[in-house]
Amino acid sequence: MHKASVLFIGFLATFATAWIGLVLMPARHYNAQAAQLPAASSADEALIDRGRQVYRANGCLYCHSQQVSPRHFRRDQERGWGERRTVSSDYLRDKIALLGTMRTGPDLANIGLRNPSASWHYIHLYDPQLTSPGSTMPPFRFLFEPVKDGAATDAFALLDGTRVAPTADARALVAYLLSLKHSQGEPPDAFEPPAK
Amino acid sequence: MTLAFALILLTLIGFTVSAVFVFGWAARSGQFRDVNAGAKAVFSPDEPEGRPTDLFPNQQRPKL
Amino acid sequence: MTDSTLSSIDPAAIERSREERIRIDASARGPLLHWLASALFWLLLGTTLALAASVKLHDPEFLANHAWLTFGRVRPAHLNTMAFGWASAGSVAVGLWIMARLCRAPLRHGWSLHVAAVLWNIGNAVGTWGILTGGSTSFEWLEYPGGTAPWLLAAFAVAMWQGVDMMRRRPPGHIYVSQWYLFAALFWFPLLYATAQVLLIWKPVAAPAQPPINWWFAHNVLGLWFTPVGLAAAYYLIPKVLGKPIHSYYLSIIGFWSLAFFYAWNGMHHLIGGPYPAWLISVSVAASVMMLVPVLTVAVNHHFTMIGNFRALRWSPTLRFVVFAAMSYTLVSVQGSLTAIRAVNRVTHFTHYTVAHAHLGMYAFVTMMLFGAIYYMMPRLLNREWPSAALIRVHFWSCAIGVLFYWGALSYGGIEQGLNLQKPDMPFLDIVARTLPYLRMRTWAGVLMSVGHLAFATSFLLMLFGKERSAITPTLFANPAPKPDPA
Repeated sequence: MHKASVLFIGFLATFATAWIGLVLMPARHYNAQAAQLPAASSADEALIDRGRQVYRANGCLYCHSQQVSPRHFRRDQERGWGERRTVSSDYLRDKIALLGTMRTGPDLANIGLRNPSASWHYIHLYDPQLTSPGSTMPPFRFLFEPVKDGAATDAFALLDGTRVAPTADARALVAYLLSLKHSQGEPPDAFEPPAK
Repeated sequence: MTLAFALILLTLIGFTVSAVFVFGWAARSGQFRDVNAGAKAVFSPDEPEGRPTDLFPNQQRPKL
Repeated sequence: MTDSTLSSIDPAAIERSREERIRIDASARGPLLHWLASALFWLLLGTTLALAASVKLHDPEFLANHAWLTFGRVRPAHLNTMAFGWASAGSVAVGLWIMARLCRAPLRHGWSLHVAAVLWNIGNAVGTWGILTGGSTSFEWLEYPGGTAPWLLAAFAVAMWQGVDMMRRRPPGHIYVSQWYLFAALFWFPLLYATAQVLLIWKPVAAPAQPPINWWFAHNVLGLWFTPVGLAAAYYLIPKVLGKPIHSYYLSIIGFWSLAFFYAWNGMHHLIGGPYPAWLISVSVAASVMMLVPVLTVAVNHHFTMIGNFRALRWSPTLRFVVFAAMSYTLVSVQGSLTAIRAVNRVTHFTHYTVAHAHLGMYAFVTMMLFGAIYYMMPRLLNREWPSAALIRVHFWSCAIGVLFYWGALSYGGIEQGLNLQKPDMPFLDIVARTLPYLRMRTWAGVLMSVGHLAFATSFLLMLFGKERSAITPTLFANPAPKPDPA
């Protein structure tokens, strides 16, 4: 039964090496790259982090992807979703990879470049029908509150004249969205750490 | 972080090694010899081969 | 054939074997009913969440004003309660019962499985609550917040221990293929789950490394946890119901080892076209196509066992569900292999087609297989017959037609969606508008499936709280005189 044992060892080596190849190696590589990134300004980072949390908590990735496909493979660039495909090192700054697997809504990898208007995002989040009639995105009215005094600078008026303002969560979420510029500039070499 | 990787790698190695032993044991103890006899393992004297064992409620036993 | 086989068996051996079987089923009764009832609860909760999510996709104002009911929370809550609350709990119950039967070993220390069921339920409750209140990890198939894992792993450790305990007490001689699948699955699942929890949630690796780990986990959970349990059930129940052994036992062994060989590399086919090196993706595409080997092995085996016996589907509830599930396994796996091919994937990825594929696997295969196994187990655990053939028929047909309609509508709609995404001049909102009819069809399919679930729940509860009575059919062991039945 020597042949069978050898075969068996082969099968198990494949399982173990699958883990090494798909899990361990990429993890070590990207950990090393991430460690080399220069630190970002702390005030921005905190707000963007909070916004990422809001994105995560409300499951935005179930409808929105954040990855631009290669030009020969899909037509993402022609849709205006990015100038080039995204590569893995484009995601080094994201604490959580939110690549997504559905395009019930448009890809958001570069939404900060494509749509940098905070007020558009506030209105869209409040009620997607206001900016995109026929959209199936749910309204996120719970991220907004009625304006108590006249002071809020990013409050906006609805059709019926009432004024709403974004909550801190909404502001963070929009800050996060505006930071999404994954395929800006030349792609860093995938297997070299970016220059400091 | 390194500790996490080390623990997982150790678990995986342990799993693989024990599985190798299991397979070696199976081969030595004749699990792969009379292959077709193994197929009868689901039957027993009171639920023997040849007798179906499931029915809709209140249905007559069928001939098979 | 029947008469001559039976009359040659020693009546004392029949009696001993019958008593052993009764003892085994009695030992499993309390603990496994606890697990099955828990699984049923999560099935019903998961179904409610499913309907809500489905409606929200075509009617976004539905229940839209509360944070905890937003689509982005309801959808992962649905997935996780179904995957862990329903399907995994059902798999533990079915798996341990089949192990007990094949090991000829009664379950010992049943109290430990009761404790495990409580821990499992607490974990799922904490997890579901966590998702709905904004704590989702957003890793698909792992959305339960980090505090959930200890509960689930502790409960599962008990199941593993029970599996080992039974294997150690098995009689000398052959280990049946179902035992291989179940024993392996009991170890594969916690290994996968714990690894993913550590690397994604407890001590997260850098962001680019997360999706490969996520999909290594999610895909392996399908192939190395749910598939083995489902196949173990099919390999046990088809011969048991028919009274006929599996056509080629040798093929089943090949099927097991080739599953273990090829499956673990599949995961990256969820990331085709994504920001990863081509070699990583190609390896998974190749492995996904190689899956045709174990899948067709299993299909041939089941088909040749059933050949000549398809009329058994008329009188066996278990066989209906199991054969439907086994055929779905073949279909979803072949579909999976084809979908991994880049030329196909460039259209289908990111669309509702993928959701349809996922349900063909988790529902038409895994869930229907669990239903079939439960229909076989319960009368034997409880010494009672199912109360109503009509309810069983309603259950089967609603769910079978429902899931096929679901799959057909969303697959077609998804392919159309994918083709439209490849037309850059087509406005995105137009693409969305064109998916709406299919999304509505999916809601109707879901309603049909929910009817089936209600029928099942009704049967289950009537069965559980019904009066124990002696059997009136030969399917049960409570016949007073242990003699071979007349043909």
